[in-house]
Amino acid sequence: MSTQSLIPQPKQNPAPPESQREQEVIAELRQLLLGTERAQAARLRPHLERINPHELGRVLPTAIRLRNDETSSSDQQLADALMPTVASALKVAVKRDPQSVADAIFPVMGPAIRQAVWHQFSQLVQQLDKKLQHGLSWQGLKWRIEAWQTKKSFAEIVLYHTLLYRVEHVYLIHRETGLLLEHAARGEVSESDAEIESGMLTAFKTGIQDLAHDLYKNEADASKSVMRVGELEFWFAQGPQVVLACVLRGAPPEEFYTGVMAPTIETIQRDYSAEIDEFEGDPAPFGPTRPLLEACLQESQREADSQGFRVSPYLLVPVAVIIIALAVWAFLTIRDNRRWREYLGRLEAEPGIVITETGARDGRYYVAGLRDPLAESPEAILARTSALAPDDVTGRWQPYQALDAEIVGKRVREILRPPDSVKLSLSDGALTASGSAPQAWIEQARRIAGIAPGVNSFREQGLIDEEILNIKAKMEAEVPRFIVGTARFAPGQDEKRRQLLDDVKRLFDLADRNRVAVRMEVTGHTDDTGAVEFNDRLSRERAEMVRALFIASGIDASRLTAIGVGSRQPVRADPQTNETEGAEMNRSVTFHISVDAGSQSGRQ
Amino acid sequence: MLRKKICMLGAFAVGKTSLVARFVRAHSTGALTDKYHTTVGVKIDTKIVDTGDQSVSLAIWDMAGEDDFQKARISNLTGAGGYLLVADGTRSKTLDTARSINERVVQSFGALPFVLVLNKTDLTEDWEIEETAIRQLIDRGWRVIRSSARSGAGVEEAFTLLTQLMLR
Repeated sequence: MSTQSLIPQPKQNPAPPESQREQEVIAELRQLLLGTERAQAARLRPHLERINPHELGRVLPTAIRLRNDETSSSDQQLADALMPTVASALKVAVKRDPQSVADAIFPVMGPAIRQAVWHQFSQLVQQLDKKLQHGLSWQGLKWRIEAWQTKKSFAEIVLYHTLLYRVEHVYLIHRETGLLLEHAARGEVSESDAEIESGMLTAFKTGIQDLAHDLYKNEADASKSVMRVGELEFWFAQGPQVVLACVLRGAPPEEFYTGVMAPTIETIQRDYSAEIDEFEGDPAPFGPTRPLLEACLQESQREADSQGFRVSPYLLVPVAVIIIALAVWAFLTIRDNRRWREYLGRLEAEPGIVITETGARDGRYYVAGLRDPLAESPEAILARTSALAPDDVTGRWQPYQALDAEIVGKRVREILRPPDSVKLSLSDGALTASGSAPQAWIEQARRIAGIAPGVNSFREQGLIDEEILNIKAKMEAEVPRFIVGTARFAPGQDEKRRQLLDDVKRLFDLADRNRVAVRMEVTGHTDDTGAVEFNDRLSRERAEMVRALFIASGIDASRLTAIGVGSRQPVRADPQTNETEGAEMNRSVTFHISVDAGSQSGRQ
Repeated sequence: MLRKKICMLGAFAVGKTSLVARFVRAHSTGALTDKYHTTVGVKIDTKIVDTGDQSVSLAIWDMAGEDDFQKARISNLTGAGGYLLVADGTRSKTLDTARSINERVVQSFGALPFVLVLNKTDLTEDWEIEETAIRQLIDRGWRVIRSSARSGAGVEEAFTLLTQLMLR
């Protein structure tokens, strides 16, 4: 009986034959009506009893694809479910065969690293830019003043002005007890503080919701509530059993609730429903929600960074400063180098200085060379001719004897120490002396002039013993006077006569010794009384008398001449002023001495 | 560590806040949260209690005390694991208030662990509550502890006993 197992059999009181007959009819009817379907059902049963892996494998991709197509992208259930498996599969793959994993991800590594580096770099630039913007701009200054006035830190003020919003605390709270399940915060918050805050927030929220409900008959869905106090906002996302509370600054957009808070609370409510149901005060099972809460710690700046790489004018300021600094530096360097070259040029031109090395050492200019001690000091030249600072220049000089005409001249002067009346000149190593000097000096010069380095010869050109000129001057000032109408010395001039003789002897003696040609002319004078012829003769007699006196004392007669000029060239042209004195002075002789040193050379 | 919410209930000026202050002593944020009493009507403190077997972190909800225990504040009891019912030993009327508060709590939340704290034992001369009344309550299964927030006597015991009751 194929149908027997499918027909319910009465268990008690065996049915009467009538009833059994009825049952058979019903069974037959059933067979007629449902026969095909029942056969199908029998065929399907084994498939339903055990899931065929082949079948599943065939439909799984389609099923996943269909699910992805049908559900909205915000539904993360499948991804959430697969995540742990995929993660551990990846771990195992890396462990077992790192090479093939490396090969697989190699093509994306380069672009990823490039992107990361670029991202970091542009972030850095943006940060720098922002810092400068806040630091240098008028707005930045205003904010600094504001910070000073409000006694807040500058960073807080900047944050306040540039922040769109920033989530600072996220609490996961057990709705019924107000106990803290888990929390995340920027910075350090102690556990007990978080607990208190969580309780206080629940109390707040319950109180306000009750108020809204009782006083204002607000029956709306209270899954989302927002409270605002000053800069702070408290956002609540309420699940059936847990509450997500975010404490934040600024004003986040609605998307923060719909896109962040709501999905988070949904996920937690869904994934931890068992733990929530069993919650007896132990928060440990909610530890794994922390990453979800941390994901809520979002912040958004007022200035969107989506503009990508962008350089504001504020970034140009330091660049400009650097360029200007470089320009100034270049200008100063070029100027100093030019000054340095000019200075070196001057040193090179300077007699007695020879440059052997130049350069820069320890950030200073450096010059080394030879310097004659008689040359001007390089330091003095620097101070006199250059704007370079003495500290910028180091000099190293070795002493030597220069043969430059100027230095040789200096050196000769240094050695000979000529009196002012002597003029020394040097030409091609030939030293010429002219003028007058004491005999001792002249003799010393003749001896040592040739020793001086750079001097080949010593010439005297009209160099005259000073004493000759002294005697000449002295004698030419003498006016020996005569008795009226005679060629006899007026009385009282004996001493003068002796002196004249001494002088004239010494003069010619010196002239002989120095090989100087000296000639003397004795001129006789008369007063203007008496006849001209008489006076002429008388004047000549007076001159001749003196000449004869000199000859008598041993002077060569050829060097002496005597002339008379009568009263035509009076010694005193205006005797009227003092007649006696003037007339007396005109009865006299005068001396004219010519000295010709000629040119002589003395060689060593 | 387990976390439990407990509430301080009782008539006005029976010493609820003083008991909490004595219990948590120099809790760092104690001073900070004091002002919430007047603004929110509730102040929350935390304290870790070691019962011997286990440590429990208590969130102590201290309701601003008024003789009339209103609905708005009974909602704060939601989720509490237990409560301290505080009465002033020098005012027998406060024991009546405690009784009626307890009735209302039981109506709203069912039977929760609680401990009756008879405070101000230091004021022995003014003591009003009869020993027989206390006896009656103990006979009804109430846990009663005499305390003095001023001297500290019985304070630790009250909180510890409540914690043990909640863990049972």
